Amino acid sequence: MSDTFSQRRLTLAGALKALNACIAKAEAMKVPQCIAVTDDAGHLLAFARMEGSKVLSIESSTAKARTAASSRVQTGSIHAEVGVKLAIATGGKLTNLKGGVPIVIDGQVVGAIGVGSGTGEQDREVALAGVAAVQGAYVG
Amino acid sequence: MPDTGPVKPERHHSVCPHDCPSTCALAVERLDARTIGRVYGDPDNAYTAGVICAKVARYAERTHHPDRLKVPLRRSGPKGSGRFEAISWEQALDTVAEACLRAEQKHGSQAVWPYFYAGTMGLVQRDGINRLRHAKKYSGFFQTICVNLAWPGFIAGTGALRGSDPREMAESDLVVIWGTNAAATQVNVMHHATRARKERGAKIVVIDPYRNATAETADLHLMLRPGTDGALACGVMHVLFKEGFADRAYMARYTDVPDELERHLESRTPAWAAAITGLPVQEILDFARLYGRTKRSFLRLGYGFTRSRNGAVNMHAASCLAAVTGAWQHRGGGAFHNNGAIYHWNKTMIEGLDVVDPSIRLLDQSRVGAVLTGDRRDLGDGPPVTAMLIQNTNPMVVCPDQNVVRAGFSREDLFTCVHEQFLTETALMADIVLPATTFLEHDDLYQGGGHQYIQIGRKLIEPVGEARENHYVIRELARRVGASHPGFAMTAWELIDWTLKASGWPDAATLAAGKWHDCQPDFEHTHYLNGFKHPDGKFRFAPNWSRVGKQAAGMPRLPDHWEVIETATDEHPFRLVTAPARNYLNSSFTETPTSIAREARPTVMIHPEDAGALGIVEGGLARLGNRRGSVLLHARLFDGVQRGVIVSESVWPNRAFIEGKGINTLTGADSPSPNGGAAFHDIAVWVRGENAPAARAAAEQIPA
Repeated sequence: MSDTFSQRRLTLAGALKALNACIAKAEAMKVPQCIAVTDDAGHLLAFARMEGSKVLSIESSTAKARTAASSRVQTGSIHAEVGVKLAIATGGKLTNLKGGVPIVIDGQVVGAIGVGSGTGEQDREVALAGVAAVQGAYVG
Repeated sequence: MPDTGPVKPERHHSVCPHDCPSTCALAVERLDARTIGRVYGDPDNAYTAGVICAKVARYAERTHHPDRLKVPLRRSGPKGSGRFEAISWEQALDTVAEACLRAEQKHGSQAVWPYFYAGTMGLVQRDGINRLRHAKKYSGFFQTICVNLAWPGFIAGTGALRGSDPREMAESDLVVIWGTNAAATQVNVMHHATRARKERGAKIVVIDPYRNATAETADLHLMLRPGTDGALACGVMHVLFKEGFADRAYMARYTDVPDELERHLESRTPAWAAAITGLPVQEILDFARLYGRTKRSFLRLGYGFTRSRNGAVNMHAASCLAAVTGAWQHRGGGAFHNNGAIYHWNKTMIEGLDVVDPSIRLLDQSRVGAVLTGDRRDLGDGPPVTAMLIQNTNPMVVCPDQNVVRAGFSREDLFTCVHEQFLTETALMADIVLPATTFLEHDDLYQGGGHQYIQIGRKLIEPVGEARENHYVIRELARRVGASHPGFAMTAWELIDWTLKASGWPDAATLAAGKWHDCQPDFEHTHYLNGFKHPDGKFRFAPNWSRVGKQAAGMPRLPDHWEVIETATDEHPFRLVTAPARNYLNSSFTETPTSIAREARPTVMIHPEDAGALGIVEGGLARLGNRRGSVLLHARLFDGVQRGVIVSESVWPNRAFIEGKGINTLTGADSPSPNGGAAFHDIAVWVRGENAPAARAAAEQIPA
């Protein structure tokens, strides 16, 4: 067993590509959004608050991205009761709201996108557009 | 000025009989009672739409070819020597009948094996041989060589062999041409697909192991490894589910186990699919997203990608895409493979279905070599085959495992009669050769597998030489061997008329007058909006494979990459695809000068880097081999394949190869799941350069 492993990680350039694709998608949908892009560990790489989006979505979008990076699956699939308990247990860092998606390349989570201010489905759609902008990336 | 211009030749309606889904409506120039001129596609037919392939447009070259067989022949030298003497029809038919009677007396009726296929697709002239077989209880013919991987694969999901109207392709926003080189083999598909592009800005995606003429026209070409289409389909569906393109409401209503499929696909990621298919992840993603966001997406699923040991599974997996996105709901959307199920024939009189004895054994067409060399897996407890009557097919070239086929046909105790238009390599092995008419010289009835028309093709010119139609031969033999059935007393035209009336179609005179009859069912039916053809009306992501074949054991429950193909190994590092050549159709047209000139010579296309590593140069010789044998042919360096994949466009006659051994020397005759067939594009081989000294030296180190 090796003592270390190497991890592919989203670059700032990749994060900005994703961010811009999310902004373009949100504009096309006419739903202003807060958009957070993190690395695989959930640390923020890029963020946008579009005019007209909700201020508190700064928090929720970031939490969604962090949750997706940590859990490696799209947010919103945890049972409601467990979701609240996990949110409390993690001091609000984990959320079960829809709109967080992991970015996967070659089977590894390299980052995540969290979107907030629309409905759950709208947030998810915008986040998926961000994933599609990263070369070779798909949704975990 | 002269008072009159040149007389324009009369044009007459006809139908292309060749082995192709298009069954084109033709307008044939008749120059006189014995001669045709140019052949055109009928512009009034909505599917043919005035477009036909070049090889049929120049059909006069084939009909009036100097090498047409004109008189019956009797073998006068050793089998295969090509030495024959002309005899009369009476002598020839008597000889064949006597041979059949002798075989029957010695071993019983099942020692005779009538053997035929789709050299003509006319229902009377192709299938009438079955009437003789049933009336005489001769061995049955299990037709496997073409559709037995493709059809069960499609029917497994939908429950029926039908799909969206193929003309709807022109109303699509995305046409996916999957595993068929339509530009070379079924030009009408390209006509409707490019209409969609011109009129609607539709995208065309081609999925094929090599950059062929169809792929050249594509917006996106997915050049995957052969036999990995199931993996691609799974990777695409993974994305469809993950990225919100799956229509869950549609699936809840119209499909069997969508939740189980979604869980199953969890591990079939694009990276997983990329590793198996050899495609870049990004291409899989681009295709999945394009397919997912386009409602009017038309899957044109071909035969080519099913000619693999996992072909049925791959066909089913590809057909699942339309059920995941619900593309079936939209005009210009859904999937199409073949329209067999829209026709409702009563073929009792043509085939003698009222005198079938179900206890008579069926022998597998694709395993003709094994049958003729006495393989007990094929013969069972029954007698050997000692007499064959062969019409419209050329097993000495087209059947798998040619070395065994050749051994079988070389048997001295086997009597063979071949009724053919040309002295094919099968005819060369015959004891009696009978000259056959082409479609222009007899009447017949046709259905289009790739469209929705039934048509009649009438006799337009007198037979060339002493050529006779298939129906004549069957009737005359029936009389001589004592077979009785009312069908033997009828003319071909009477059989056509009887069949049409008994099937609930317009009668022969009406059909001939109207040129064709459109059998297209309505939109709801063809798009399965009234339910799929299963008892619960639901598409099967988890098919009951045993419902579509007797060899279903071990087939995967859900769409997958099924690893039963001949994978590349150290011994056999290459995967060979024997794709169809543009100017040939199976082995038909390999006799016409223009087709031969355009195809040049048997060639293997190999990636330049692979060629370099083996010391093979452009135009140099390459030997391909496996445990079944080896063939020697010329190489062409071509970067339109993945490394490790080679393509040899086919089917050239064996005699066109340097050593007289054709490409199907390398093809396996094992019977794939679920219902037999021939895995023509699933062949693992080694490759050696033959004219580069360094390569030869290296090759000598490799055990054969």
